[in-house]
Amino acid sequence: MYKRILLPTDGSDASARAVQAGVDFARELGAEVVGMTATPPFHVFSTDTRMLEDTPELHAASAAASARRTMDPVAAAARAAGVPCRLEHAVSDQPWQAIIDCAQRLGCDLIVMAAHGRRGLAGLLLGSETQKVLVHSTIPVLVQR
Amino acid sequence: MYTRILVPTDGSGVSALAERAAIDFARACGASIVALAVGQPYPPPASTEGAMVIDAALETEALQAWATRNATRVAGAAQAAGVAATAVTDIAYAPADAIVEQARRHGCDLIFIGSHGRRGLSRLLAGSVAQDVLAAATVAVMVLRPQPQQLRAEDDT
Repeated sequence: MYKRILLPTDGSDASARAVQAGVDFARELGAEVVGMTATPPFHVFSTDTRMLEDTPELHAASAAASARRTMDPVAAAARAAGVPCRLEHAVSDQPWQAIIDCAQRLGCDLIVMAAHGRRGLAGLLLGSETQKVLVHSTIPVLVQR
Repeated sequence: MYTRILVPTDGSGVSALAERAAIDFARACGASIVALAVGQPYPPPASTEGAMVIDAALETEALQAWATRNATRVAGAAQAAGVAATAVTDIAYAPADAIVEQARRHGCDLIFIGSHGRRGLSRLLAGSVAQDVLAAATVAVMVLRPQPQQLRAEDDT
């Protein structure tokens, strides 16, 4: 049915739950998964503490390391479930756009993502990135709580 | 993994796409379906001065008949595809709340919902019932997106 499922994650607990659900689902369907995360590009002017004293090169290296750490749990979950998995690290200020682009580029037919991620405010019922993915996606989105 | 899927139907084209997808999904997962149609009455006017008053009993009767027709149609389609299905109806001013409540009542672990593409500025907004369901749901929600030909058709209307 679904053959390649995109699992975006921002490293939050909510994301982790969604990733596990996505992996379990993929196992049941015999599908493969694509884990992905987005990190912002280097900006000269930034309030992001990770960037303040960086050079573009240093930033890229630390962003890549951070992305690997964020996505390691996805690879681990997929491995444990015997589900084929690849990882994608997108550099973008707009996670929703990176998610849509990745899904399109890799021919994914389903996105499984959390209702909200790290920045989930208590009063926000549906996260902003999830909202935007829902508005712009042309493939189904399974919103996991 | 998902064992009981709530499939709301409103008789529209968007809904029909979600219904077909839900039936395929249920078959692939070995899940059963709860087909729900929610009749939505007009809110009663605050004052009846100069307003057209709808016979509430007649309206409820008509809505119930509409809901039964649609829920039964979807349940029937599911059964024809080899998927166990129940037809459920409800009458509510806020369909999204009814959808979430019926999902809870029937022990559903997934809600399938379609969403409108709409035209112009409202293309930026996801379908409003879908939005409300997403906000209130305590279980996973599968959101089907409109197909390109559907968006073009809506542009022409």
